[in-house]
Amino acid sequence: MTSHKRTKIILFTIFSLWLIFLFSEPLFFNSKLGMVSYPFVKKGVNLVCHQQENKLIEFFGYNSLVCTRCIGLYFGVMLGLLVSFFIKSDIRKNHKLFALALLLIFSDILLYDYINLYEYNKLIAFFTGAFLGSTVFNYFWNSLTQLKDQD
Amino acid sequence: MKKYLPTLVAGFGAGVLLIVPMIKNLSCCVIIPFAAYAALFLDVKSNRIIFELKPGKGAVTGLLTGLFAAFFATTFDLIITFITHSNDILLAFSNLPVIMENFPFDDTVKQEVVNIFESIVNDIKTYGFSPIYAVSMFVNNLFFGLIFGTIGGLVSVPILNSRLRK
Repeated sequence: MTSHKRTKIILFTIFSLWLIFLFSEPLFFNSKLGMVSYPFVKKGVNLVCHQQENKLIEFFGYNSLVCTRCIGLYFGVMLGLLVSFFIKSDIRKNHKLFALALLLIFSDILLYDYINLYEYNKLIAFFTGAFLGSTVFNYFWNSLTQLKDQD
Repeated sequence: MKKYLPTLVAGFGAGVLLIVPMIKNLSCCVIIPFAAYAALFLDVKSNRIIFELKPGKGAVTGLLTGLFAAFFATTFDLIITFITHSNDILLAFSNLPVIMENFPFDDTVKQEVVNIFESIVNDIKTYGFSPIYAVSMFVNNLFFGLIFGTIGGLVSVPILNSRLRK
């Protein structure tokens, strides 16, 4: 197994754990320690997401720890990682995709929040986030491989 | 000191943005990675860097920006809590006993949990400061700030390099 493939497997494990953590609300309500730590963990994650109640993903009466767009972004990163096992991305093409992903997110925010053309839509938020996440992964991977090759 | 100025400025900026609800709602999880990008951009401009950036530099700059962002975000949060004697965690605490009723714990455990939260709530309401809250916020913010800052720094390097090539 090549060292890059090994790194990708490690990254896959870390991203999977992160995604599990984002849906771990039920686990917090299973023990005293979880109960006590839950508000602090939730407030801690607040550093990287606004956590507005209506924008969280609901499942079995629980909520995700971050909003739908953030969940989409992390899924997108995971998707980018999985795709990279089979397809080698061109970083130059990625600039255009990255710009397009940013444009789509800003357009979505502009259309539902400022122009009020439609209500906040979790599906749109998820997919625009996922698109951005998949392009962000290529940049991340590009830097990581350079960093690794320097060693 | 000049070496760390871009990270300090970007970290401070992120700390400010993180406490403005309107901006936070819109920019969400990109604030800290964007601060890392801004720090690298400021570094490139102030040092007139014309050669390509190395990912290691991006990672270190992102790490430091995340550190400063976490520090300032926590400090501003604590200052606001101190002035107002209130914050959004009080709401979470006030709802918790109701939520706990639905879970199969014995009453002593429920009471212990409620006691812990009550001491934090009382400290915040009375003094505007709770040591448990302050420490936990700092540790949490530091953890997420460092990770997201480093990732932001790494992601920013290829983006900035494409600009430098032009």
